[in-house]
Amino acid sequence: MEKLPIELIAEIFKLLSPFHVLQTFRLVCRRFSDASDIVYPYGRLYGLPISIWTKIITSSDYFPILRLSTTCTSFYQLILTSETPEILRLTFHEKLPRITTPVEQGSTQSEDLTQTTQPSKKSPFWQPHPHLHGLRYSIAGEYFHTPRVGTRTIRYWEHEDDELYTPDANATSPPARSITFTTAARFRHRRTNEVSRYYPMRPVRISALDDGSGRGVSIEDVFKAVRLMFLLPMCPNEVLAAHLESWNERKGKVDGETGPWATWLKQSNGLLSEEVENDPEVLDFDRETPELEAAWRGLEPEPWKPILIQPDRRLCLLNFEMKFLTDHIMMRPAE
Amino acid sequence: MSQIILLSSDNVEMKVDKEVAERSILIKNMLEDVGETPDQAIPIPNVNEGVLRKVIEWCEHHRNDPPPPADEDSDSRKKSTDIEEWDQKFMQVDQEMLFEIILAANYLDIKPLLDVGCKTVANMIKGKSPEEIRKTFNIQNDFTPEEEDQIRRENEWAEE
Repeated sequence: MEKLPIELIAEIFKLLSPFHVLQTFRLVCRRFSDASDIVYPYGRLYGLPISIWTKIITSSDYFPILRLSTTCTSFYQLILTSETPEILRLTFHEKLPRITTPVEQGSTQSEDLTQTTQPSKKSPFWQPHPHLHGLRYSIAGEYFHTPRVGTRTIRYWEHEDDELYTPDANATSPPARSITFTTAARFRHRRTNEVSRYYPMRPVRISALDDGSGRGVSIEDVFKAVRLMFLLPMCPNEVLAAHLESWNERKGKVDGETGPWATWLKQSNGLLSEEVENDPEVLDFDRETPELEAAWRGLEPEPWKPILIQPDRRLCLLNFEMKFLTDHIMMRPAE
Repeated sequence: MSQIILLSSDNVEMKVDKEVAERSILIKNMLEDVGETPDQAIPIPNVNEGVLRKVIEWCEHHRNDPPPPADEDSDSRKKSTDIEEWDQKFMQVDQEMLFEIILAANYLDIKPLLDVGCKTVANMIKGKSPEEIRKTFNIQNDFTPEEEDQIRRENEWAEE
């Protein structure tokens, strides 16, 4: 094995579950550890900790998992060694057809593999950890919002560690019937300060409450009510509402369940994605992302060093789902 | 069918069908640069006779395979560690030879052979503990106890 250069060992690691690479193989020797760092720098896959991806997988339904498993070898292998069979069983109430999908095929293999190294089902690894949070696995999010009101676009940066700010001191907007937000996120390692590329988020339209006042909604209203990073296209409104509720308790920025934001959520429950999908004014993610990305690059406030490997729409969306879950879970640690 | 001569690192000449040799992207590019089938042997300085014969055997068997897709991400072969039966038997060699084949495939730029080699090693280490892997590949544990402890702590998220 010592004959193989580290790059080739890394190639071998790419064929294996990220979980096993980080949990087991990097303990073998220094070269294995270095190879693991090549494939999963800082224990991350696409910029996010493997532990969180595992959590995503074990928290997701069948179809997102299936979709994720087709994106790359690492996800495919990670899903094989996660608690997929249990998820499938719960999702489909034990009615899932047998051996018809890559996930299903893998589930039989994973039984052997997981005997020695798979975390137990009760592992609350998402609980705030004195060794990990703020250290190796800690990532801060930075979000770049470009809300449009009519033809006007305003730039905002939102830092998870700091507050929202805009480079334009006069960046205010009159209330409008609705505002379309296009947001991108990047992630910064809290210890090394390494920064990922920007990940574009699917545009989201915020509509004013139809309460008869005709007041409309302003960008500032939205920002006061919610941190936009939580407006995730893949998460259902009830999950978002639950999250907002907990965030509300923590920050005291929303006036509880009867507040305007909570009401809006209730009214628009289930309509958010349809509204965005069917609205011709909303940017088409696939078509417009390259231009948006180019624009974002030009607008970045400081130089950055990419640490993520490839842009992928599905991964982008899942990144946001993960980000949501991270925050959601961190605020509601397992009991 | 035109043939070319390959010269191994230990100066052994081997005649090979050009089509077979061109499974190696390195050789293919070399031949394209030269423009016509060379009369002289093409030196393969990093690969000895035994390994080169094995590599040629693999290329012979896979001579009619379609070329691997240029886009690696769309390559579903890489998503699993399944290996075709013939390739499995082909790879039933001692560890030394296995690693030499991987290195040769890497040097000669034969991606499908490199994949098979990597998958074989991946299957060998899959499901093993660090200690078992060390034993299998005769690897020295070069971590200090502190470093080992540090790595274990970093991975506590999975052990709790």
